[in-house]
Amino acid sequence: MGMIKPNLLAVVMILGIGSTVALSGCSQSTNANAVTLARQQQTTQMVFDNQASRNNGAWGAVYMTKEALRSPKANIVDFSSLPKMVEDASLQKWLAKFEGSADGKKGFITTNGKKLYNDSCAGCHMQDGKGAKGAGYYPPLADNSKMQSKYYIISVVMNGLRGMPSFQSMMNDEQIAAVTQYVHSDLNKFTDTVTAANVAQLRHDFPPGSDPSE
Amino acid sequence: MGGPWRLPVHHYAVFHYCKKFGVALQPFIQTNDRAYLHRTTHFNGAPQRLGEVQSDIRGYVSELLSKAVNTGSLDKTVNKEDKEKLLEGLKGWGVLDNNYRYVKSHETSKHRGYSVYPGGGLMPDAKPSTPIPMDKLLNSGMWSDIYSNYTTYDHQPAMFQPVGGMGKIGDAFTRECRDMITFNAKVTKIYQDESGVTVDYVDSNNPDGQNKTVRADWCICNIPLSVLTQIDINVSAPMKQAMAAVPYDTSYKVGLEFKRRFWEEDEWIYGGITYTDMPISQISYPSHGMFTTGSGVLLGAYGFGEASYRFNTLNPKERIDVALQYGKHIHPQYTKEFRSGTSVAWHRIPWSLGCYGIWSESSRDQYYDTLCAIDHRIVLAGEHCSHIPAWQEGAILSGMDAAQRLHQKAKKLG
Repeated sequence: MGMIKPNLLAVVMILGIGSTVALSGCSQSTNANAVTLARQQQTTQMVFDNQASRNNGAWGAVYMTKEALRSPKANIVDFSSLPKMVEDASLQKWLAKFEGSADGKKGFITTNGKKLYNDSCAGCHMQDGKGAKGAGYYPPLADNSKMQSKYYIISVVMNGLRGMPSFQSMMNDEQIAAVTQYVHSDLNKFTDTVTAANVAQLRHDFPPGSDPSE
Repeated sequence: MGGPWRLPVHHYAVFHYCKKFGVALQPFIQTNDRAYLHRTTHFNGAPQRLGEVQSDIRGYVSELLSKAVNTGSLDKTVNKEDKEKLLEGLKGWGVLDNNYRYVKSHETSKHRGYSVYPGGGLMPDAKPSTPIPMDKLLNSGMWSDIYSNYTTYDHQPAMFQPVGGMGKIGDAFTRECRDMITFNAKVTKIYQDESGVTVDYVDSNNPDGQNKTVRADWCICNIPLSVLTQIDINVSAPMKQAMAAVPYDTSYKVGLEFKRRFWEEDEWIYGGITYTDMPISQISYPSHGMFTTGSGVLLGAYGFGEASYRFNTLNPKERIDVALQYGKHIHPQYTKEFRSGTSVAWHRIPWSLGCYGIWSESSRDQYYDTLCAIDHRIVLAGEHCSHIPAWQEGAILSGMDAAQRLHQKAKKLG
């Protein structure tokens, strides 16, 4: 009796096969089990089935038998084969690239200058800072004498320049310092040390452009 | 791919030209109650249907508000008569029971959907579905998807798309204006003088070839500012400042083709959009070709912000892989059914170097009027010269307005 699912018990009642007798018989002979059933029912109600939303109403009565529909053996989508995100081998590379995404986060988290460069600047100025040319151009940042002034780099990252958007709301002082250091010293051979305090000096309240399409 | 996607009902200028040029339109489904909302760290990663989330939020908010009314918390705000009407409304709108509670029942299932739907003959009885517990719902943050993505005026139904794709609008303009267009002309210089404007250009397929020139009385220039600021152009100093004051936003899209329409066949999702906090941001299901057998194409990723900068740095094949590897956590069928894909990152489009011009309140105050003003014989047009950034409507209205003002100025000069 303990094995029978609560919803089956309900069906027995509806079909009315000596329901009163059967039920009273049940509770008399297996009183302890009945309590367990009630507890089970309570527990079932308290544990929310995360997959129910996907399964709700999409079981397709046209395809399934009454029995299968009453107590479906599988979910409509086979997610059982799917590893958890953090254990998903084919996702590891991208969890590193899109850091924080396993926790549902979207922003820049790292304070590694090279990674910050490769995750933002490289989209236009290209890997290794070689720049690009089309109808317009993206200036190369490598071997570029303008990169001698760390304050110039900080200012451009902070405020944007012409078509280039501002990163001041996307990166904190430490991150802007790190990416500036990478451009200043790794893509060029300049030797100033860039600190978060240097960046803080240039921060101001100018509101960055808002995105109307989001 | 690197272009617009859907048309809100109030974009009358686009529809005007679609009608005039015979571009057939069909409904675009933005809101589909069976599409999903998804949060990586909630519901053990399982997506929840939009319609259920929406019903449950309405239910719980109604329950709480009626509780406040019934305990007299709002007595100073609502008089006795209004109180009764408010309670009646909340009970109906939130689908509350006689005790003003939002619970699992046939009544609530009529709104959020059943677990087992009513059938025919000797099929099983309908079985109500279970509302998402309120704390889980609130913690997930899915509520925000409803007011960020569905109820804004530019996403309200009805929305439309051209039959055969958004490219049909460009095709129609090309057909109607064929004689006026020089293709593959990469502008290198725009020079105005007392009597007219001279534009130098080269063949973009042969940039080292001969310089060509065209001259006219006036110039309406719709080159994106991201490129225009790099071209030699003699406009006034304030205009140059205004042109340089508009940064260009970032965005990416990934298209995925699958061998079968599993979202329709397995999950009964016909059109609409699933929103997620994963880097892919959203999955859009096609609003056309529904119920057909065979392959179908999803918009497998489309977003902005930090995720977009990362997409920009990837090559097309990598972008497709990102869309597949994350997307399969919403649709596990991805892995088995994938056929092919394509992608775009607007910052890598050579002639736009970004998605659209970003304006802030302060930059509007400072530069917008100057940017839109006629600078002697040159006037700019495009989405960047509109209050509808990123949309075709903004570009068309800006063009019409520029042409009208130019016409008036030309008439005055005689």
